[in-house]
Amino acid sequence: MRFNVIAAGIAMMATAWAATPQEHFDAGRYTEAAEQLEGELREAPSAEGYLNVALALQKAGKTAEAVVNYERALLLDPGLSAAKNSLAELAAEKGIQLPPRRWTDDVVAIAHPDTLVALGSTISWVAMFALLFLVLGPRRPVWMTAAAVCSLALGSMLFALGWVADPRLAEASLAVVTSENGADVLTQPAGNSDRIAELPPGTPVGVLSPRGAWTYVDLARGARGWVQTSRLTPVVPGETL
Amino acid sequence: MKRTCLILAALWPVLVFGATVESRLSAEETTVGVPVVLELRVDGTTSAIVPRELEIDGLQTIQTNRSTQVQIINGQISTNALYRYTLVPTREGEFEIPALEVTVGGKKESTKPLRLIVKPGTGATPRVVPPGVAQPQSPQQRPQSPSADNSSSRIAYAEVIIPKKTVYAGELVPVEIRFYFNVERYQFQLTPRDPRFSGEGFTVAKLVRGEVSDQVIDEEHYRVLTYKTAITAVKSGELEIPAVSYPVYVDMPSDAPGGFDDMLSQFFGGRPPGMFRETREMDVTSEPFTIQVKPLPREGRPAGFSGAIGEFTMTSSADPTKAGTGEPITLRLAISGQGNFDSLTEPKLLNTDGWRVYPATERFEMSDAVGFSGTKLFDQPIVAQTAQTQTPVGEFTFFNPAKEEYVTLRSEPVPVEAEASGSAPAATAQVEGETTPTPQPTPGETGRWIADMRRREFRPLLTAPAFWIANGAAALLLVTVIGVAVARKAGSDPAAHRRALVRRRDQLLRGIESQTDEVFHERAVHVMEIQAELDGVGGAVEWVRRGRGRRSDECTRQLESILDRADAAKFGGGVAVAVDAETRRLAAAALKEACK
Repeated sequence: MRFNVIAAGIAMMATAWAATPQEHFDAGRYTEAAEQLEGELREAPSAEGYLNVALALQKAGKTAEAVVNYERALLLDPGLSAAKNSLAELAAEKGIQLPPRRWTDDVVAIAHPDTLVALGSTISWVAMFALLFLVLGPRRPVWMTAAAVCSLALGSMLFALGWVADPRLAEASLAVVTSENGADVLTQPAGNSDRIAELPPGTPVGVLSPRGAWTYVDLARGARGWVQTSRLTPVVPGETL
Repeated sequence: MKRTCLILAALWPVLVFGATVESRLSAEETTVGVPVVLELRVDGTTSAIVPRELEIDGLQTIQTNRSTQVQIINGQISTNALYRYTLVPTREGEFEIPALEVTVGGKKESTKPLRLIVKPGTGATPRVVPPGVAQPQSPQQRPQSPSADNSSSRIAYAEVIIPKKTVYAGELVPVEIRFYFNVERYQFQLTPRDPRFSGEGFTVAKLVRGEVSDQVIDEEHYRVLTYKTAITAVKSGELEIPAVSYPVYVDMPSDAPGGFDDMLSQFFGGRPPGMFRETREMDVTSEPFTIQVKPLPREGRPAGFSGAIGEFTMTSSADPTKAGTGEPITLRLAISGQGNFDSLTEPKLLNTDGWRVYPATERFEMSDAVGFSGTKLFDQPIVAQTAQTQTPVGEFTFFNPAKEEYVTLRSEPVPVEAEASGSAPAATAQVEGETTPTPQPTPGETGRWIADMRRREFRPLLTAPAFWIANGAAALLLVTVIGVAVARKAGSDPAAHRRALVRRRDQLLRGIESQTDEVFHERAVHVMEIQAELDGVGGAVEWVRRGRGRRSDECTRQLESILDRADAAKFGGGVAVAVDAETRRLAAAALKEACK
């Protein structure tokens, strides 16, 4: 009897040890699922992977860390609607103020910025070569020339859109308040200065200027102030403030 | 010896006759809070042992100063000592000041007991005025000019101003407290403490120090210090608002020792200003008063009434007004007005079908110092579960004490364009008509594990070296193609070839006459060959021959001479035929003319 119990315990431990992140998640071991998947994502980042980490952390009650991973997922794939919806609902539930919606969000919801850049540059080059051959060739049909010019304009526009709308460029300095007690935004980098706002855990802020123990940040509604650096976690993994 | 004589002379009355002690009050009647001076005079000595303090119930006693006097008139020496005590009545009544025991030269002497009558204070009565309206002073509030002989006069006083005598239980009532200080005659030093204002049956908001102004009342200069606060009665019935008191230090004139005024008048024409002053601590107080507190009517009280009393308006707005799938909209309900904002709770949301509603956050923006008026903002996150064109509406109920009725406000719906949420379970629940107006989401409802994980990089394609290498290669290819095409195009173009020949010919002709014979002839033949090609003629000799009709004979002869000399040099072993400069010049001119 005792042997059976020990054997069953060992078997359970072995199963848990060898389980995949999804198996941990399905079994309700959310923290283990998140930690294991985070390790895998360091080698091979994935928007869906960070979304899974965020879901696991949210279920584990770690709101701020969940927001960080939702933001990571949206940096990698801004059109990932599951991440957008989950983050919006979590923010609404916890009273977290997210950055205002940008017009580029609609653009990247249709196509990934990398796709836009690659497609735009390819179309542009093809159009340029076509235009060159038309100019140098013996005959220059007007409709072909017009098509080449339009293609060149279209390719350039797609390239520019992909550049402007890419959150990895526009929001590369994003950080999230991850301290348990949130963070106070102060007018000066000193503990006794006036308070501008109180940010709950999970609030994203734009980092403008890290200065050691204090970081100058941009809030969602345009206000700016100083936050203790130790209370922030950069969204891009491996970055430091 | 002289000093000893003087001491003996000073003490001889004591030694011979003994000292006499006497006490007197500056006034036999006074009012609560208005001090009187008890003077103890000891004749025949300049030093005596007197009580430091007097313990009398109802009188606060402080020994304020001591003075001695030595007079020599017609060789007669008289001495005395004066001890003064300030008595501040803290309550009304008749007080007996006991006999004071004085020890002089080892002997004990006593004064006679004194009586002091203290009447109730004549401080300001509460006045009912609209807030913010300055009121003239009533006669009984006028401060009187204090003097050394009239210590019942007003030095400072307070008044409490409320907007109405009858209030409702729970209603927030603004209160203004004014302290009047007679700075014409006295100097005041404020203490760091706030005024004391509290009592049973009501709560007091934080006292906020307001403006300091100056007023002239009965030709006396008063400084007025204002405090603002608000009170809330917690039960119905008659409510006594007790006196407000504020401790201050006052520097005021004191009595001069006996004979000093005569002496100063004789020598200086009067007592110099500021001489003989003393500092006292005193409480500036108001009069207590009562107000009536009515209970809120039960009749007509709506079910959603949360205790808000005042006058309010409500507006609504939404941000953003266009929301994509799952994107929350913040519905802002702003309640503005005057009243007990602490009791304002989140308005009830109506018409929430198809919306997921989350808990609101609230914020109060005061427009006065005590929080009586302002705007309370409720930010309500809502997420459309089905496509929506307008927001829910807010409903808020309060009691209006002016109209004595309950009022229910309802906000206008805000037009929005909200797409249906991708959260299928919640949307289905709404469509199927489940009666859950404000479902609270759980993380598990919205999130599912995604097994298909595609690799992406945090580094954008734009910053990848491979991308720029590929683009650079394409650009290089483009440039190469353009270069080759241009070169090829230039080679196959007759006009371009002709232009190139003309440029070459002109280049050879430039300065040809100044060259050596060998170079001259070599260039001249080359020019003729180029020109022959330009004219479509096969060779220089043929070009000269065909052009005979068009040129002058001299020109043709010169050209033929050039050809002959060139041939001679060519076939003569490379030795050029020598010609003079004039011949070269004429030949060059003929060549240039022929090439025109």
